[in-house]
Amino acid sequence: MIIESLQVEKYCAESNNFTLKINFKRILSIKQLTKIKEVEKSIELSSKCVLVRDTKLDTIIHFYREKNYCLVTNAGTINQGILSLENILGRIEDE
Amino acid sequence: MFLGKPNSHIILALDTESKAEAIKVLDQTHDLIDVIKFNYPLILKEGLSLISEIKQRYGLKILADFKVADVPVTNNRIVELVKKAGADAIMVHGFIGTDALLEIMNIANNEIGVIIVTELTHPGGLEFTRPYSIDFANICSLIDAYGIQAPGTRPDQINQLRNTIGEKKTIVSCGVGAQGGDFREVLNAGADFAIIGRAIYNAPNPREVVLNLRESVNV
Repeated sequence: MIIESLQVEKYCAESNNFTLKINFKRILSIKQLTKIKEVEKSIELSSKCVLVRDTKLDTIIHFYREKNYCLVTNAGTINQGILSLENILGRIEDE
Repeated sequence: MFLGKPNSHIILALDTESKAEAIKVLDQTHDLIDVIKFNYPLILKEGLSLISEIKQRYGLKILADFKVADVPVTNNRIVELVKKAGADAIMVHGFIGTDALLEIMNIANNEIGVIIVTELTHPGGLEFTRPYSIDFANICSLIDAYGIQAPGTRPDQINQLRNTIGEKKTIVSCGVGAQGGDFREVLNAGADFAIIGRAIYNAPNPREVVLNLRESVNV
């Protein structure tokens, strides 16, 4: 498991959603980021950040180059945010 | 969906000084255009109810060009109000970020189309919006928004944005006419609709202008 710790970056009471900052034990490799980019509903922004949308849980996960964390936005609950991330990481865990 | 299938491909930017002038222009042109676009000045002067009033009177689709660009709580309230007023689509800035855009999509709830602004048409638009316009187009696909705005003054850029978002998304192009964009070039570059304002409503005979525009693209 690559996840080390989690903190709630923001909670919006009106729209009732969380932004989570999830720290990794290590920086994601280029190969892992490339795999993430191949996930359906993902885009790369200005070569700095890869965004992946989880359409089931309606979240967006922000992966950054050379950073040991990601942001999960628009999560209805903390658990949903973690689940969204785990779904994506599950696809690259052979690294 | 939302703005409907293009017929004339013309969105009339109704930026007149008053409701009376707006009605005068629409009485002459409403049967020749596809969509009416409102911006802040006329709505701030006449009130949000003008949207439903004009929609009822002419039965045309309405685009609210409010270029929403605030924190999510405020954006969401604006979109809710505009949706209730009867607008069919609303323009929002791409630079508010994906979390804010996704919240707008949820508030829109498929009852109002969300169009993401990619690049402003004036020279200053090249300073800050151009470097990110392709990113904004990609975000449109990511969150499955209705479409994007593209600069009618830069057909090459429209073409690039069309290639980025594919054929299914809607492109509205502003800056056609008074700002220098050419109607035919804009459509050829990949826009579904051209937004034209001053060239129509400031003309001595707005109907004649619209007829000429339509003739220029054979519709």
